[in-house]
Amino acid sequence: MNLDERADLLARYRAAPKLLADAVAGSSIAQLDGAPPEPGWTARENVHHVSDIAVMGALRLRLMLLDIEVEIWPTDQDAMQKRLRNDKRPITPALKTIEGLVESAVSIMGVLREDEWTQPRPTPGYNSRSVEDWLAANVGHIEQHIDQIRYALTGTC
Amino acid sequence: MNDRPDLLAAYLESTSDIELVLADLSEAQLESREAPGEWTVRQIVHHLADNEVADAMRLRQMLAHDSPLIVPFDESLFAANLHYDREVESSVATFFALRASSGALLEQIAHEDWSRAGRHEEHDLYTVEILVQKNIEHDAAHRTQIGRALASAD
Repeated sequence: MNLDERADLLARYRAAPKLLADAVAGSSIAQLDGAPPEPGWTARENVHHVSDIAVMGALRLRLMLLDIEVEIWPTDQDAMQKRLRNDKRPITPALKTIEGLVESAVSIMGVLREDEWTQPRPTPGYNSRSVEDWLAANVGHIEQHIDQIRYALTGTC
Repeated sequence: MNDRPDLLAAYLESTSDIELVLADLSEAQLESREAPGEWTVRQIVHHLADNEVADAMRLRQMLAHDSPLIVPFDESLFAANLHYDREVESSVATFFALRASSGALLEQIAHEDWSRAGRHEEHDLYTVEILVQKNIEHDAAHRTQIGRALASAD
């Protein structure tokens, strides 16, 4: 990854919380909880999933930079949605959490040395990942769920 | 056992003293510390945010899984390696947002979920209720520490 590609990813990552918030802005409770056109999560469930994964990602980024290898997240995401009551919780705290965690990660990445960006680190669930890889995965994840939210709310991405 | 509604209220309320003391701090105040070798206010703020990230994860793990492994972390490693000299605004936002989010999650769980437990390497019993209680105590300890650091700079 060259520096321009990294800068582009950082810009997309930083823009994602507002795009996510804009995607659900003005939605009624019925719309947030409405079934998507095809089987999948509601808009509310998608927001909470992004927030929960942002918590995981925030911890994983920190542990990567400390070279601490710990398995920290489940594999059954549907079960997690149910156990965390993600079909019932209000979305405003989740949106604020996503915004805060993204800004926090941007702040950390903003002061990393070049070697800290690119050094592959053992990561449970992956062979190894660098901070660049972490950023690319997290940008892709948020953007994918923004599309799912738009689809759940409108039937189109 | 504490009364859980009261415990939840204390969990949500215990950040307010920290919010007050962090309002409008100067750069010099952020660099103040209680004594040589102690953390600066800036470092304490980053620690609060990183601790909140770890505990938000632990809370979700304990609610989503049966007896997950809860791994303790060396907070001095975080301070030494995560650039705790950086700006504090995003850590402040993270700390308060995560507390509100975890509080909203706790408001939804069933009574018996407060007893859900993880396997903690340093505690024989580590439940959702204990995590919440420890967070309240953690907030109070660092609020006091920040106060002493700021007083030492006066």
